[in-house]
This record gives sequence, C-alpha cells and structure tokens, in this order.
Amino acid sequence: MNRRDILRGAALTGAAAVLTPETLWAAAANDWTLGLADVEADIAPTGLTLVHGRAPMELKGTLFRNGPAKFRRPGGSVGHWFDGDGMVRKFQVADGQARLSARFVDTVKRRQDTAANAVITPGYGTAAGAGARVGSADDANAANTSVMMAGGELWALWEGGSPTAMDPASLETRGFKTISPDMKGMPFLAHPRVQPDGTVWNLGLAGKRAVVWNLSPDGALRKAEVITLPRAGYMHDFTATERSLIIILQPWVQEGMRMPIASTMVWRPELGAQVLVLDKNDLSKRRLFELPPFFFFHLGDAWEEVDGTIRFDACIDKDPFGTAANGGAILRGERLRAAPPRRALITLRADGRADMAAETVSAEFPRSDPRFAGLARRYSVHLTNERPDRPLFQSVAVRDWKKDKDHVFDFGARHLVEEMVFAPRPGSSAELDGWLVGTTINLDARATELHVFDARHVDRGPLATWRAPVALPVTFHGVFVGA
Amino acid sequence: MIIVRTLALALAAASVLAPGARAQEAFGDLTLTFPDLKAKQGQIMIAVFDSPQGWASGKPVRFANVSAAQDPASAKILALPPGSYAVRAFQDVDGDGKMATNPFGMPTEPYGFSRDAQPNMGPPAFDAAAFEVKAGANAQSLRLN
Repeated sequence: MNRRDILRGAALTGAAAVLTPETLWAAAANDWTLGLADVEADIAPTGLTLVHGRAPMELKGTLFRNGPAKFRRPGGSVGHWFDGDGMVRKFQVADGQARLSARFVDTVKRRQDTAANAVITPGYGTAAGAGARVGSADDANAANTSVMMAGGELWALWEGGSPTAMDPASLETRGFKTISPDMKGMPFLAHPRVQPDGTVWNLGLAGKRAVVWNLSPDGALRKAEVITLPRAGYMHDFTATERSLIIILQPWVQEGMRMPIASTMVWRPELGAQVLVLDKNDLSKRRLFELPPFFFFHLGDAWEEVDGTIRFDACIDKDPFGTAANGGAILRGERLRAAPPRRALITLRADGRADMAAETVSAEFPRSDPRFAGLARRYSVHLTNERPDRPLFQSVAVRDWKKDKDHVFDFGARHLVEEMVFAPRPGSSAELDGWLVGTTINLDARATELHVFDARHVDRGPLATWRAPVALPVTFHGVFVGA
Repeated sequence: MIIVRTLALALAAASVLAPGARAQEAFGDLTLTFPDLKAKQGQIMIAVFDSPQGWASGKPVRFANVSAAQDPASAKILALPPGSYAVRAFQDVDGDGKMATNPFGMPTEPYGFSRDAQPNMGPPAFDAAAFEVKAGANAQSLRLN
C-alpha cells in the first residue's frame, strides 16, 4: 500500500480533513483500533454465519459478555479504555447455530454524556467535564466490565458502584441493583468469586475500607461486613479458596479522593505486595503474607492443599506503567512499549512464608472450570502471545499445572482475541471436560467471530467458528450460562 | 429644594430600616415543592441557608419539615428577609430523623438542592444552589433523588 492509497482510504472514511499524513501512516498500520471503535446503536438479534467447522450439538447456552463500546463524543472523549459505555453482548448457541444481540447498558453516565454530546462523566482515567453530575459513584458507573447471573437477573458489573440489573432475555436495563436498602450504592467489584454451590463472594472498595459481600446464588444478601485493609491498594480482582478470601494489596496505592481514579494512585514499590487471607466464616481471623512488589489486574481461582498451602495463578506486571497505562494509549491508537503481563503461580505456605514463581509466558484474562472454583484444580485458561508491535492478545492457552504443559492455539496476527470461558459437557463432571467459548475480532473480515474449542484440545483449533455481520469492540469479561 | 430632597431620602431610608411598618411587602414567603417523589413516605427535612458560610458550616437560618405523603409535597417558609438563599432537603423515608447513609457514608435516602444544583464529589457550592427571595411570594421546586 502506498501513501496515495492510504490517503484515498482515509478520504473515504472522512478522516483526511483532520488527520495529518503522519498520523495516517500510523492509522494504516494500526487497524487493531477496530477493537476500540465506537458502536453507535444496539444490535438487534441476528443470526451468525458458520464459517468453519461444526458446532457440538450438545453445546446449548448463552455467552454473555460485557465491555466498553462508546468512547468518543464530539465534545470530548474518554481518557481510558475502562471508561467507555458498557455494552452487553449475548451470543446464543443451540442446535449448531448461533445468534447475537447487544445492548448498551442504560446508565446515568451514558444518559449524561449523550445529553452533553461529550464525555463529561469522570472515571478511571477520564476527568470530569463541564456540567458533570457525580452525586454518588453510581452517577459515574459505566457498567462495562463484567456480567453475572443472579437468580433470573443478569447483572452488568463495574468496580466502583452497584451492579446494574438487566433482563437476560431482552438485555433491557432495569436499573441499579440495591442489594439491601442500607447498602444502597455500595461498590461491588466486577470479579465476584462464585463457589461451586452458587454462593457469591465479592468485595467493594473505598480506600482502606472494604465491604465483603456474601450473597446466595439468587443474589440475595446473606451478609455484608465492612473491614479495614492494611493499605488502600488498587484492586480490580481478588480470589478465594473454599474456606478463605485472598486479597492482594499491591503497592499501587490510592492517595486522596478525586477523579479520575488513576490520578490518585501512586506506585510505591518499596512497600512490596501484601496478601491478606481471611477466613470466610470469621473475617476477623486474618493472616498477612509479604511478597515482592508487582502490579496485577487478574487472579485465577485459588485452592488449599491438605497441609494448608494455598496456591493460585496471577497475571502480573512489574509495575502499573505497562498494561494499566496502555489502556489510555490504545484509545488514541498509540501503544506504549512495555512487557506484557506474565503468568505467575503464587504460593502461601502454612508457616507464613509466601513465594511467587513468575514465568516468561505472557498471560491475561485467566479463567478456569467454575465447578472447581476454590478447589484443587489442574487447568487454567488464559490468553497469551501479545505481539510487540500491537496491543491485545492473539492466542488462547490452556495450562496443565500437573503436567507442566501448555496447549496453545494461535489465531495469528489478524485476530484480537478476547477472554475465553468454559462450558461443561452435559453429563460430565471431570475438570475441563467441555468447551471453551469465546470471541475474537477478525481484522481482515472486519467482524466479530464466535469460536468453540474442545477445552482439552485447544491446540487443535476451533471446532466451530461463526462470523457476525459487525465488528464489536473487544470485551473484558463474560459468563457462559448453560441452557 | 435641598431640604425637600433630604427629607425624601430620609423617608426612603426609614422604610428600609423599619421593616415592621411594611412587613407584608418587605418580607418574602417561600413555597417549596417536591415533585415526583418515588416513595410517598416519611417527612421531608428542609434546611434554608442565607450565606456561603452558613451553607459550608451546616448552619441554616430556617428548618422545616413536611409530610412526603401529600401530592405534591410542599412546604412554606414564611417571612424571609429579601436576599440570596439556598435550600437542601432530604426525605427521611425510614423516619429516624437522620439522612441515612451506607457504611461508606453515601446517602441512601433521596436528597436534593435548590436550583437542582448538582453534587460533584460533595455537595454543590452555595452559589450553584442560590436563588433570590424577593418581597412577597416566591416559589422553588426541588427534585429529590
């Protein structure tokens, strides 16, 4: 492609008037920005086209996924990927066929920004614009990070505010979920830990204070208790074993209360990382472990061995200036040079020592078989293979901790790969006996694709791939709900 | 001539300095209405402020409360000296006399400010909520949410 072609291409998109030739060169090379493009309208239910293989007939259910899908408005845009308006996608698979619908979560933030024709609502990495109303955290709630089922309701999750209840059939927004009247507006992280029996544990943070949520499978409150943490470390995720909650206090510490949130965080590696282990039955029973400093967004499910040793996997960065900072840069079509997050196995020993074995393999969006959450397990699922010249991942991996072996499928440089979740095979209770279900953006087809893998043989490639008539921007997290 | 003009000025001044003589005209009555309450339950607790200092330190010049069961709920604040005022109000749904908050200190009962002034990581400034009370009848509507 020569310069003239690029200019002609830009003219077709109407961008030539505002872009300099230099930025056009960058834009031509960076078509991964399709993964961060704006969506203007909801997607009505539509059939997907099977483009590869054949879907297992036993696979029936719905993959709900959430991620930001509107970033830019004429009067001002978000400053960070995490601040786009949440759009919930629904991929239904049955009888070998797949359908897609998607709707924006109808939040106060989205209404406010739409009315202002500018992103005025502050967030993780976006400053408040003129006229912003933030009477409570939920006024800034983007509902854009994850989803969970609670009884018959679908909850769209953010990390600093309430869940947003939606109708799982129509994806219509019902409104912020008040889990109990006296806990109205309390934050609820986007990473609840769900026990195999359906019990939900979650945290909500306010500086050094945290609420520990304990909900029944239908989303009803069993208990909410406020605890004090050793420090106000940034926390996107925590983990749990069958008996314990495991809270990592990384040395990216909140100092002050203002928005954007990222502007209050200070990297203090001299503090190291702390791991707080709480007894689920008595939160006052706590143990504290020390680790060297690291930064993380995501942890895998934890388990406890017979001798009391606790283990879990984590996706770690050496500091917040890579993955976290890139979330701002990629919105502008830029990329900061930084090592990708790596897989690590963290071990907390009964004698109070802790260690972390960091590997070289790049890893993000860790998942596992939810039927083994909190229990001894053998497999982790994660994305891998982040290219140096492009953000986001291009491969999916299944880690076998017992055999010390990885199965990897590489979609290649022309796919942006999103988190993959496990769907069990009906009638089987063996770990990871079933399928991985997940999406990618095919940059050549300029379309979102839905893939199904045999979870035990991910390296063989998808059993089936369907293509959507649209490209939706990359999502963060989802759940598979069996039919 | 000079004497006449001086006398006129003195009379004019007297009418300001001695409000009692013309109370009906000199004071303002303020009617506050609270439309579209989600729960028609409990009392609406109202505080009226006349200065940024009072607003910031939580020292109102008037208090009032009114049942939230009327439709629309409204309250009358009588005989305010003309000037600049701002109002904050909350609906005491649970009837404990306090604005309920969650464990992190965020209000869990409906509240609002005059001129629909918007909080921004804290209450709005006095100026954002301030309106003029003139002699005679005045009205403001407050949205509580």
